[in-house]
Amino acid sequence: MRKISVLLCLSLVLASGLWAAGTAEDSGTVTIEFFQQKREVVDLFDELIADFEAKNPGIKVEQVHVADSGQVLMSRLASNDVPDLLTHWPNNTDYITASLEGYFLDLTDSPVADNAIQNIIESITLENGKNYCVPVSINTQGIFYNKALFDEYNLEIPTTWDEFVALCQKIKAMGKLPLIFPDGTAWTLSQQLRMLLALDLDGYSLIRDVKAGKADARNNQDLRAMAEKLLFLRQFGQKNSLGTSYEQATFEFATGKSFMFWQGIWAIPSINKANPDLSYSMFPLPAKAGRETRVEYGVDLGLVIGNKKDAAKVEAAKKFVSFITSTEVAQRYADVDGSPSAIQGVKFNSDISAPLVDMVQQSKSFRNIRYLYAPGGNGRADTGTQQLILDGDVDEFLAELNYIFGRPE
Amino acid sequence: MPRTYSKGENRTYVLYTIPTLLLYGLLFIFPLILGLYYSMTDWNGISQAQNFIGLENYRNLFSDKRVVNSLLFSFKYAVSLVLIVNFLAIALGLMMDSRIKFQNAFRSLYFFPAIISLVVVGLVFDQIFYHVFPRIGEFFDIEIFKTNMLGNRDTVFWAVLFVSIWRETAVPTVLILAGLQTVPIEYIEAAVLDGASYFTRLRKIIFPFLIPVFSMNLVLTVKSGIMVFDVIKAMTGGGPGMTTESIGILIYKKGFQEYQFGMASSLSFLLLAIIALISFVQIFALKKKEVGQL
Repeated sequence: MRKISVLLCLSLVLASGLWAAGTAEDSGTVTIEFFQQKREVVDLFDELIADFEAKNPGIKVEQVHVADSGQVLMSRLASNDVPDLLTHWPNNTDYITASLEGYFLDLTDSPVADNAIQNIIESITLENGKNYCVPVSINTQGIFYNKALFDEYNLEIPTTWDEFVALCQKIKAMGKLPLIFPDGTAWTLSQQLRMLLALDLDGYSLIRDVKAGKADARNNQDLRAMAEKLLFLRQFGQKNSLGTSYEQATFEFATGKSFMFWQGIWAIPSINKANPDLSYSMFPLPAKAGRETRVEYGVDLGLVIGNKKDAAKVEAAKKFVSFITSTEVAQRYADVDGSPSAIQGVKFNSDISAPLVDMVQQSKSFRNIRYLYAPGGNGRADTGTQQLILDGDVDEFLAELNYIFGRPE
Repeated sequence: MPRTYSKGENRTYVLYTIPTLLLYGLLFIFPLILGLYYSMTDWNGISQAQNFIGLENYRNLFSDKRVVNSLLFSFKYAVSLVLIVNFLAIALGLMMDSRIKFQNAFRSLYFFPAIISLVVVGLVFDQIFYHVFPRIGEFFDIEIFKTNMLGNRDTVFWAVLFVSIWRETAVPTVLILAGLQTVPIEYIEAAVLDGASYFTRLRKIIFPFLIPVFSMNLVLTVKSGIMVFDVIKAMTGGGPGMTTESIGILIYKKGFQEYQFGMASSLSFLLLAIIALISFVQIFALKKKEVGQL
């Protein structure tokens, strides 16, 4: 008797499970997975998704954010488990490689991209003439500075590299911390690398030459000087910078431990969250003597549709993309994120990054150079630059650059 | 004399093993063969096509500086882990076997690290190294604690090892405790009567009975040491730079970050060969010394 009742219970549980699973599909709600890679805007997207679902009762959007999202995405692609909708960075070779392999929905000339600024779409269109990403916002990087501390100590914003170094030396002489380096988090280091590649050198033509085998990073004096500059700056940072992570450094700057912070404008929501009362702004990192100071720009948030087969989900994903890229919602996003929008008609309201955004709008800028790296170059740039800071071995670093740029063996 | 089974019983027993065999085949044998195939291609991990390149990946393995570095790191790590964990396991096992107050409470306490996931352990210790140790260093004026030990190339190896030891000592200790129960009490009593000291009893009676358990512990800790991944990924990601790049971390990086899935697969097979070799040597060497095997 006992065996029969146990068997009955198990069958009941199994049956109800199947019934529930079946019902979810039948009720007419389409659920799409939104694989969101940008940690700073998870809360913002929760709000936007709630609004979208209120306006579109038949659609549910599940935001999924995980640590090491890049690698998770890569392993998912390898097993053909592409998320319905995802965010990506079109400058990243991971995006370029995945797009060319056909993992994402072709959005060339698609109506969902109509509201984005045309120039930006052109800049992210791939070599095969197709586009797989709808840009939402732009980012740039520069030097954050603590306005209150600068006012207190009567410090001026530097406009040349020598002035910048003098400023750091002055702050250090006062016994204070000029810069804080998140060297424990490797991607912040390759971020500095790619900035200097375009700012202090003719990076674009150089990388292309190395790729074609016409140049060798190991005997390039400009690259050597650039590597030495990265090492030179560490004297103005905190002791044992390799033990500080991106989150920790952001927090330390926000709470006034350092005067300045070399970082991208994507850090603005995190800084505001750590210390809403902080009075701060940015200035562009000055180029080396003899070169014009310009700022980097890149697409910060791009929407990509991964589901190519399920018509209902593709439709739902497209609706969500149109929602986010509508001027009204894009304005909300821009106001919270502090980033310039890639959507037409959005006004730029953030005064923190205004000095840099002005330069982008005046075209005193260069495109984020990392799209030129060889496939897998991103990961090697992260590790390689961190190794440079660790052991100061410039020769080893230059040899690694050959791999990063894709020099033929 | 082993019992003979009837034909009917035989068939039933064989049928019972089929589900497990299927699962084993699907989850272990199949990926193994697939992995072997990938290790002989130049697959980058996401492209639709792969090119067969034979043993070229294997040939390139030893000329790659990073591979050699990771092998050296993993060996150094494994040797340190094995020595320290086994010493602690035996010491703790012996201590907990004696009748002390709160014996059960201590046993639960020492087993606690084993039940927490390795990733959680790594993440929590990551915070401890950043916030807690520097404060302790400032308070007691101990130089080495004053900075984040995970960011310093001289201390990061020991910091990560410490976390591994904290986690890995639990199970071997419990196994040693279990092994100690197999020592017949009459032998010990006879030895005490004959005037043998504690250390003589340890050497001549207890240790021989512990050899099967010790052999198992050795295999387990060597495997943990060479394949270390979770704690490193959670705390340093292989950094700073390449200082904590174990074989496992390098396989992960090459496979999922650097678009060299074929190469990563070949490195995995190298790892498989190394562990198999070490395990065989260990078990073979210790088998002769087991009690009752003469």
